[in-house]
This record gives sequence, C-alpha cells and structure tokens, in this order.
Amino acid sequence: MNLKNQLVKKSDYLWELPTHVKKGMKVPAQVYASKKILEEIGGDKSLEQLTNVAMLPGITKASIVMPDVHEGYGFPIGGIAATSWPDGGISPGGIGYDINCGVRLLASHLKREDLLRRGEDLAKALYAQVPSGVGKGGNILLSEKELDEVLRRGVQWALEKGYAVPEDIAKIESQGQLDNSDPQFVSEYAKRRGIDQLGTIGSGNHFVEVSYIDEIYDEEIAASFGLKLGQLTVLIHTGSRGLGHQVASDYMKVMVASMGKYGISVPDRELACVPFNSQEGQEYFKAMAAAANYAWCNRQVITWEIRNAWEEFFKGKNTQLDLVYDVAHNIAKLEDHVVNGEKKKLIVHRKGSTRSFGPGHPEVTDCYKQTGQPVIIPGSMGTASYVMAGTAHAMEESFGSTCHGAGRRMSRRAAQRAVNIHELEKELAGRNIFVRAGSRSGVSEEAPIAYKDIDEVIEVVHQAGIAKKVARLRPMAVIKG
Amino acid sequence: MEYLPHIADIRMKIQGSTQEELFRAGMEGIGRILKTSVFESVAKADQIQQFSLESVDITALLVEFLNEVLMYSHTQKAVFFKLEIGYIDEHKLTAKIFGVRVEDFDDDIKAVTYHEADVIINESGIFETIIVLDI
Repeated sequence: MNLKNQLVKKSDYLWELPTHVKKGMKVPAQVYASKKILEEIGGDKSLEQLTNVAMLPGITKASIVMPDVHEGYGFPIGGIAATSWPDGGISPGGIGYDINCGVRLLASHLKREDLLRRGEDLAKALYAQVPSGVGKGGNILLSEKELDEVLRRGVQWALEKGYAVPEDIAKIESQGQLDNSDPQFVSEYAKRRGIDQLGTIGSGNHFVEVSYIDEIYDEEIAASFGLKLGQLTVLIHTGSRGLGHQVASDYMKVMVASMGKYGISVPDRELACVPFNSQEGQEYFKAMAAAANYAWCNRQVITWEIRNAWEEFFKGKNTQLDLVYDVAHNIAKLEDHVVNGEKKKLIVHRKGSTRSFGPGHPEVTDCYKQTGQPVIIPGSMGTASYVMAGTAHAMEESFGSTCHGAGRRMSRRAAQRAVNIHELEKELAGRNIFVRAGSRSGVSEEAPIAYKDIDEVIEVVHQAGIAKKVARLRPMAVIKG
Repeated sequence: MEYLPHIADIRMKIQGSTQEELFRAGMEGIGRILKTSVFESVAKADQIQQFSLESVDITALLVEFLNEVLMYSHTQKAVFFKLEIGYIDEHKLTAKIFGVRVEDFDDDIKAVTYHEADVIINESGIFETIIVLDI
C-alpha cells in the first residue's frame, strides 16, 4: 500500500490521508509538508506509523505530523495525537522514552564580536563545566528525599537551592512544574538512574550551543523576547536522562500487560495505551509528570552551570544570561481545545513537536501574552536554528503545536559512513563553528547532512500559520556528549 | 545477530536455535552497542544479577528481558555478556546474567522497544525477531 500516493492536498502545506485508506483509522492523518519534504517522507515508515496512530482509542480530529517528521519506533517523530478526556487512551509511546526532552534559549547581553576568535576556547570552557556523555553522572548527588522534591516540584526546587533566579520561572512552559506529579509512582530503579544525573546533557542529539542572531523577521516580537541582531545566545537541548527512560520502559510494560483488560488492541505494541482515567493511566500520568519536572530541573541546573562558565569566561563584561523560554517536545498534557466549534478537554500527546500557543492564551506567561509563546526550533549542528512565536491559527489547526527541529533524513550509521570527521570539523571551523564532543562518532551522526533542510521545515510551519518566524540563530560553539 | 538500517534508531535482527539462544543474541546485541571491547576478550564477570519475569507472550518476554538487562547495565554501569536461563516458557523466565563493570559506554540505548518485535520460527526452524532500540 503506497500511502503517499493517497495523500489529499488540503492546502499548499497541509496534506491528508482519509480514514478509508486503512482499516481501523478513526480519524484522518494529516501531514504538514512542502512538496520537497513530502518526497523525503515517502522513503520511510512515517506515514504508516501516522495512520496507526489514527487508530488510538479516543483520538480526536486527526493524527498529525509536522514537516520534521521521520520514522520512529511506533509513533512517528514529529507527531501530535489528542485523545478525549477522561477515558481516551494515554500512551507512553506517544511521549517517548526521553520524557520532556526539550529546548531552552538563553539571551546574553553580549554580541557576536565579543566571541570572535574565542569560540573554541568557550566551547572548551563550557565542556569543562557542563557534564556530558553516555550515562554520565553530574556534580550533584541528590539524597533520595531531595530527588523526590525535584520530581514533585521541578524548577521550584532549583530556585530554592540557588540554581535559578526568580525571573526564570515564568519563562518555562508550565513554570517548570507539573502539579500532578507523584514520585511514589516512579520506580526505585528509575530513581537510582536519576540520582546523579541532574545537570547533565547526556549524548545522542543533545547539546549546548552558543549562537548569534543573524536575522530578525519580526522586530516587535523579537524585542518582546529580548532578542536583537548580533546578540549571543545559548541553546540547551536535553531531557529527563536515565530517569525518564526508565519511567517510560516501566510503564510500557504495564500498558502492554493491561490494555487487554480494557478491550484495547493496537496495530503496534509501542502504541500500547490504557484509558486515561484507569488506575494504570493515572499512575503513568503522575510518573510522567515527575520525569517532566526532573527534565525541567535538569535544564535549569545546566543553565546554572552555563551561567557560571559564562561569567568566568567573559569576566569584566555584562555576563547576565536571561532565560527567553523553555519548551518541552516529548510530553502529554491536559489542554482545552475547540474541535468542530465545541470546547473540549483533551489529552494532547506531543512526540517530537512543540507547543505553539498563540497571543492571549491563558497558559502563556504574562510577558508573552501579547506575542504568543516563544517557540524554539534547533537545527542541526552547523545550520541555523529559529525562534518563532505561537499563533492563534495553531490553536485552531494543530492543537496548538508546531515542529520541533529539522528532522533526520539519514540514519546515524549512514551518517557515520558518509561523513569524514576531519573534513567536517575543518569545514565548520572555517565558518567559525567550534565543536567539542566526547566522541567523534557523536559528531558525525549529528552532521548537517543527516538532517533535513531546517529552512524548508521552518518555511512550512510559518506559511501554514502554525508558528511565526521571529529570529534566526547561527552556531558558533557546540558541545555534545 | 545483525544490525539493520533505521533512520534514527537501531534495528537489529536476532536469531537463535532455541529461545535461550535468541535471548542471548539480544543481550549481546545490546552489550556490543554499549561497549564493543567487552566482547573482544574473555572477561571475568564481576557483576551477577538474577531475576524472574512474567509477560503476555514470548515476544513481550524477550523485550522486557532485554529492558531488564539494559536497566542493570545503567544502574550497575556494567555490560552483560553471559546468560544462564534457569527456566523459560512462553510467559515466564528466570535468568542469571553475568557482566563486567565499565568506565563508560560507547553509545547510549534509551530503551528496547516493542516496535516490530515478533518472535517467530522461520523456515529453517530458527527463532527470529527484529528488535528496535531507541537511542
């Protein structure tokens, strides 16, 4: 079955697979893409996986993927699935193993010129300060009681311990704390994995990147976000580390064992789910929230580490780093959305997609109420990243969601084979981009060639009106695990 | 055991003439990603874990066994290379795994997924399945 040939054009940037293309689909499957991106999507299992998601119990309106979509391990990456509250399905696979993987952006009071010819030194300084690498622990060893506090209170814990400033809190999605968290539903093994990993990046596609703003698309919104041309910024991309991975694995097992008793069958076990209001569903939701709080706290402690390194490195200059915003892109949340003219409470799963709430939305913090929330979209190492703003149109079309990155187009192993690491480093250095990484394979896997064209992805969501371009960032120094 | 292409993660095909061999192949597939060098010389185990599992079928049992091994790898900072199965049927298993502590891992594995996993007996009478690892 060639699903790509059955896509129906809804607009220049939105395509749809109607329910009749596959038995069991409860809603259509929608794809945000340009023609160029559609060509790439056809080469993997993204569309098949998207149509499987359309079979979830309680799924509402459509299963949706963004232009950064690629094949996942059940749910496609770049997807959104909203299920009906209170008895629609909640599926750990729709959130992923890295619960609350996300991105935060810091804005400095320095300019690109302040870093010229010093990028390599800053990369070294940050690498020394921010622990990274596979399974690496950090410099903070929590007691069991403290870990429970992190899981319960997220960034509030960090604020009390001096890892945050009060101004940070409002500039984090959900203020860095989901209230429904309950650490008693996080296993001892998950806690053991999290006890020494706070303030660590990890490996894979996670990174810290120092960039500068090379293009402003909307002066007014950029000013509201505290962004201006030439300004140095810092991006942080990581999540809930081993603790989140273990929570997801623990509850996948529960879902696989339990869904039969609720009469649920799914075309792929990674879509395993139970009713949200079931005991298993509630316990997962509370454990997921605990892991999400850990992830926000992790990015906050990394922020503290970066602030320390920054102050030392740029001694004598204005070294303040202001948090612009922090967004989650692997999470499920209870949200109100209007579907067919009716306001509904939904369980919104975002698996590699970013919340994009528009102006005036009650959940958008006061300082961004006029503009819509900042949406931060990292590109690949060596290419641009973007700052966008949430829109009212996203609320109408995509459950207030947009893309989360460039999206892979080449496997990690293919990238390792295709990339000559010395040439890549030389080429990046020639463009004043310095990379400091724990492993050479980690660098080649994340080479720009392994990703889609970020500019094309951004243009799709901008033209489709589900996020608005505000500013473009160019990398100068990258640290990776 | 062989690694197959996947756009973002790792897909591996594992085979075994018995269920025990299949489980052993999966454990080795994970171990080699975490630390290849462990399998390049004969190591003396300094980590031993014993556990029992129950699941809905043999496929889920395999995935959950591999996740258990992965969890011990992360919590003990160890790579497991030897498996002794005390009991196994379609739904239950008791196992003892032997491994060595390592300084660090070559690559990370977030989880062993159920995606595409389906234990079958192929035309040659060999147990076989695909396993996709989230990395």
